[in-house]
Amino acid sequence: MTDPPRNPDGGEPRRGPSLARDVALLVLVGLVLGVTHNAYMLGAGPGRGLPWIKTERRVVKLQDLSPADPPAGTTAMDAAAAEVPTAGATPAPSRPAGATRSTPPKNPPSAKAAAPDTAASQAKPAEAPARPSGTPGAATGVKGTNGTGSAPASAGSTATAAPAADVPVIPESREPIEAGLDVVRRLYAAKAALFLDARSPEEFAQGHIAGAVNLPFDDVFRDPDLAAKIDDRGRPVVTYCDGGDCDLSRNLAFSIIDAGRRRVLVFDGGLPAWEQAGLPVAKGAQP
Amino acid sequence: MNALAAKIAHPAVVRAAQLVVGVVFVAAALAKIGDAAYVSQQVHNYHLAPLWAENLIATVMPWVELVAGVALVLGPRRRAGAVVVLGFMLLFTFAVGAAWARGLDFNCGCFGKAGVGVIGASKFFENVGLTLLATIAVLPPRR
Repeated sequence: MTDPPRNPDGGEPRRGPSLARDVALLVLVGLVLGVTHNAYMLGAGPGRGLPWIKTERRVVKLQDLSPADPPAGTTAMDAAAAEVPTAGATPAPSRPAGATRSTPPKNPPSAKAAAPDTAASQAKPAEAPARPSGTPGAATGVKGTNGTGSAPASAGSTATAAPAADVPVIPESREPIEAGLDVVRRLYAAKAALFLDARSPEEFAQGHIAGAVNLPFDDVFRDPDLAAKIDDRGRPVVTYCDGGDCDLSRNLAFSIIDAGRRRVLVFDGGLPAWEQAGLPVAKGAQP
Repeated sequence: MNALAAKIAHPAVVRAAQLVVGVVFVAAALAKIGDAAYVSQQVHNYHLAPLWAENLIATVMPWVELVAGVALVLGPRRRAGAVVVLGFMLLFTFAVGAAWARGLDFNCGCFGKAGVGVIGASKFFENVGLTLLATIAVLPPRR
């Protein structure tokens, strides 16, 4: 009886099935280690391990939300409370999925609007009266972000404030709310929302909704506390990016929801739809 | 041609390729094991796997990479480790190429958060180079 030929690599018998068996063994050991590690992490505490099956986080449409949902901030007291910056909400450990970006807009927008009057809006953070929708409208900002998100901004400060009846009611929701141009435009005109640009600082500088604050999702993903430091002054938050396949605005919205906010809108058309409608855009690093 | 093949399959060359690829895989695996949530998102970014499987992939894949890398560096079962690594490299190169072709520009996630490689030509050809090394690592050494 003869021995099988020896493999110079490690002295193992050089046989096809042997190599296949070794490959299967290595993969199996890796599988067992991975499953065991994740099971241990899941048992160690919430947010430590990954759920075994990933489920899609959904975005609801504004019209699908029940009208019975209490629209936050429907009283004058709420409007007054909105003068106090809100920060410090605890971010949940879970993270949104996906950070894919689409190709940037082919035609970078030109500055069609003057720079927002940031100083004025800081000095008078709640100049707008209480509205039925609870949208105080005024100074906004993101505290502690790097890049261009550190400066307060007033979204829509260049537009004429809309009549109170024209401001959409944004109910509280545990999911981001998808909003179209019509809703977003009215919020903007009423200075009734904080606009957040989820793209990179470079893309933001090429053109953005005038008055919007740059809060790149990549930064929030690395440091979820940034989402908790958003200074929305009690107003809804509108996130946007390049529209189309761009996931950044949705992902940023999920992060903001995880940080405790409950009125977060995703502008589905993004900057391209905004530009196409001829609405104010600005260039540069400032809002 | 035969002379070139003989040189490539020289035991020292094969061992060097195994060491290089093995160390790269061990480093990449250790970087990913620490943050499975980030890996899951990177898997999602490629839009190649079904959503329900993304967490499973993120949970298991780095550990298989680690085991294969350790096998390549330390042995035993070096060739088996090389085969696993070659399979991974073919998969990664395809994924990076597909993402590049679709114009996606996220970080590849190859080394978890430590990696700064953005999807593009350089990352694609870097992967092609590693795939060639992994191919050499699989070769049975000729004496």
